Amino acid sequence: MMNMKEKEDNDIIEQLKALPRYGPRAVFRMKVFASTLVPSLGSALAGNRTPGLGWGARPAWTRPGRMVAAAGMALLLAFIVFSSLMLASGSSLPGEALYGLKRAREQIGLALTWSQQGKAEQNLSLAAARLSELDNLIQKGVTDSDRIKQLASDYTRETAAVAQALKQNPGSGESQVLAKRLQALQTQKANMVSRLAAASPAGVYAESEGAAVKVKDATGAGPLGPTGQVSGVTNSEGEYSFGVNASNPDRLSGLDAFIEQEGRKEVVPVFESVKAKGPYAVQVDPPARVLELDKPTMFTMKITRGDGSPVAMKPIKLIDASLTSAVNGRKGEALLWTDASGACSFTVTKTSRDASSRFDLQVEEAGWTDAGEVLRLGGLEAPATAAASDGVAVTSIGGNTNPQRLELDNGLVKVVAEHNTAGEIISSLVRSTGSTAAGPLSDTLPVEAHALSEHVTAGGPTLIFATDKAAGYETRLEMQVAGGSVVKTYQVVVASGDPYASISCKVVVTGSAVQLTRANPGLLKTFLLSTPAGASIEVGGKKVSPPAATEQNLLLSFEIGNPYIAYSTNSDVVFIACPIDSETYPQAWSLSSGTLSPSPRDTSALAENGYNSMIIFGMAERADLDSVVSKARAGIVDPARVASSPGDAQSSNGFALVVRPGLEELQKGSHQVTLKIFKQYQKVLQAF
Amino acid sequence: MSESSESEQLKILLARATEGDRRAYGRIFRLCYKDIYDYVIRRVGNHTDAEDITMQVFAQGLKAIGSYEDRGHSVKAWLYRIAHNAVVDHFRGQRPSVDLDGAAEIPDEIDIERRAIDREEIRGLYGQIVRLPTAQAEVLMLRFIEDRSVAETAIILEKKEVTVRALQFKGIKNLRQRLEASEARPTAQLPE
Repeated sequence: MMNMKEKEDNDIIEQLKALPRYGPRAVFRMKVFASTLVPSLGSALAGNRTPGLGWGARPAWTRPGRMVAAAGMALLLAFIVFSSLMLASGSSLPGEALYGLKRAREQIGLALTWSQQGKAEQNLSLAAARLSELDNLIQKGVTDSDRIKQLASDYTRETAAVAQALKQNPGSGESQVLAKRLQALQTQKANMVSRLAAASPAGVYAESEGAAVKVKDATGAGPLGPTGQVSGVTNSEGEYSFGVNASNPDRLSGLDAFIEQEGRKEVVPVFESVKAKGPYAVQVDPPARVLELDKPTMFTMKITRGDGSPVAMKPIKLIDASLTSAVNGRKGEALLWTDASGACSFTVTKTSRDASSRFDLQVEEAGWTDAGEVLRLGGLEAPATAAASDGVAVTSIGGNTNPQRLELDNGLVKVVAEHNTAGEIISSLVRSTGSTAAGPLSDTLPVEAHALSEHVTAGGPTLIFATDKAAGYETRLEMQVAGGSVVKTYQVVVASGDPYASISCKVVVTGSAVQLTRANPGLLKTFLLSTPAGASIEVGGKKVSPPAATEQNLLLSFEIGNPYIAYSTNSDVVFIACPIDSETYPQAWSLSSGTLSPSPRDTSALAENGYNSMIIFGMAERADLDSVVSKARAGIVDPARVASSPGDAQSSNGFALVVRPGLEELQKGSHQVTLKIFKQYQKVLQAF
Repeated sequence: MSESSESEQLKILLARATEGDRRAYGRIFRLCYKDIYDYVIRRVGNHTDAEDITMQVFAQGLKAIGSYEDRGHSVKAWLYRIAHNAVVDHFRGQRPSVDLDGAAEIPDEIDIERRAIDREEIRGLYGQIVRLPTAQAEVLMLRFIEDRSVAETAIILEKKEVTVRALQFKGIKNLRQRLEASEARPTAQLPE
């Protein structure tokens, strides 16, 4: 038993360890940052104080040469401000304050590069930067399509410059590397486009060229002439124009536009403005919009009288004469009650896109009083593939414990694994849109494994968990040697709403196998993904030669979804963080100091350490592999974490409509109406 | 970044720095200065002096990095050692009459306490450490607050490992007694 004193001592040590640390002040942090970028400046700033000479107590400003020091300080301050702005500008996006500075800096860099090869490399880096900005903007739901367009066109310009350079100087080794990197970037872009098209989060619109448009008069009031409808196709600006007889503008309010393109079918009222009439003011929240068919949406409505008093505790009716929607589950007419503040809530489900729904309100005050139209709703039928389903469907053929075939499908990505003896981890990985498929992904056994080991067994796929949020399976590769073993375990996780499949690998080397793997590095080699020949890999600012001259490199562990690649040389394991996911796998990718493609997703740790292009976990002895791997990967395979990644459940895949002129203009005698139709993403992405 | 991968990264940077790459040295310093700063401010007790000394460590390290010899200890330990010497010099500059060689060994409770005036926490556990004899306080800070190994602490303080262990033992014992004494007084504040 530990004696009392010892225990107390240990407590004290624990408390010491838990003491809070002192963080340097912000200004000092900046000073250090600036000084260490230009070490001679930092040295000058710290002074040449020689230990033991003892002038330290003297106030700094009484020193000789203080003018020089003052000037130096001013320069330093200017430098600090400038460099911190430069630093901050690095991650800025179009429309943000420092973005201009970032672009200016890029231009300076380009102007200061003389060699054609160097320029081409910079063009490639810039293209990658534009792509990443584009991705970030879209992720942020930026709706400003001008900015998006500008980035897309900048990207195209940079890649064109690279292509031009390659044309002028084909055949050289450097050109080949560049060509591969360019190809990798284009692949990344293509995957991004298809990912966006599939996910289609609301927000970014582009003119919808070539959409079929039909305008119908729902009320039969005749503004479209005897046929009651016109139809056509939008032009390259996304516009479709038609003539109307606007002698009575009220008749125009019955117009519905039916728009159809790429599987999206929408009905939307051409004119949105609705006016309550009678003695009431009615506020509906949210106001007019387009609802996806069969998805109930909550609305609130508040009714007040002309004198401002609420229509409290009264029965009201909402009537949709078109019978294309249901209010609280009832078609045609629904009876509701207002509360003490004159408000009520209800859900609307758009059940048909035969017409848009125009809701008329009646209020029970001295009989049913007509309050006019209070809400207009369009309807949208989105392609089934674009909607993210909830949960992960697990299909297991041959039992859950040791099935012959497993399928994990979350509606966005489907992963199929089949039992095999060749070290196959994923048989196929398919985007639900069907446009991107990959596989098989396998950890093919090196020849040495068969030569050296007594038994090589491949196990799995085995279902390791399945909840309503995520599911995962495992494959195992075991190499038995006398007195030890090498076990590689792969875990594949698919989470609800996440378009990425996540794959992690764990390698455990035990007993005599440790010596064996040192003597035969090939045992741990995993031929999973290839590094382009001659790709440059920089670790900690130092160039590392790819270990083999061939395409097949030594990728030891990797993550798909969020993380790192490890690749080994003979004595060390180099960890490089880099996302490999169902978006980028299995096409070519490249590692280099300038452009890491795909670019690292988490850059928060980078600025701190001054790296710009990749996250480096460092180098480790092979013996330390396991602990380094587990540290680097802590938390990554946690299903809860994977499941919390943002999905796209809120996406609306509809069209947006701009109508010119407005109703007021039409009242003044205009007879030509132009619909400008926007769709999400497509045009912008096609511009690539 | 994990401790081990950071030290690996430092090794790589160090190799470049010793060959005269000043930017690599700059990176080393960026990676280490927060720890160094934490140690220095605990010793001198105020931000202004701590910042001054930390910059001094940077400059002295830059001058000396070319002649850095790898004796199997981390570059961070090397920087701690420069920092430690700079702190000793700092106190020396304040009180030139003290025997220079013995400065680090002299328990100067009052001095450290006075320097700790502008700190936000002079109480509880930490308040007791600064009251310990300097040599013991240094060892405890490096060992448990800065998380240095015995070997590294010995290098930093230029003492033998057995001395470090002995100082650590004495320091803990001393600290325990002081804490017990302060617990006995109802007005004393416990560490948070």
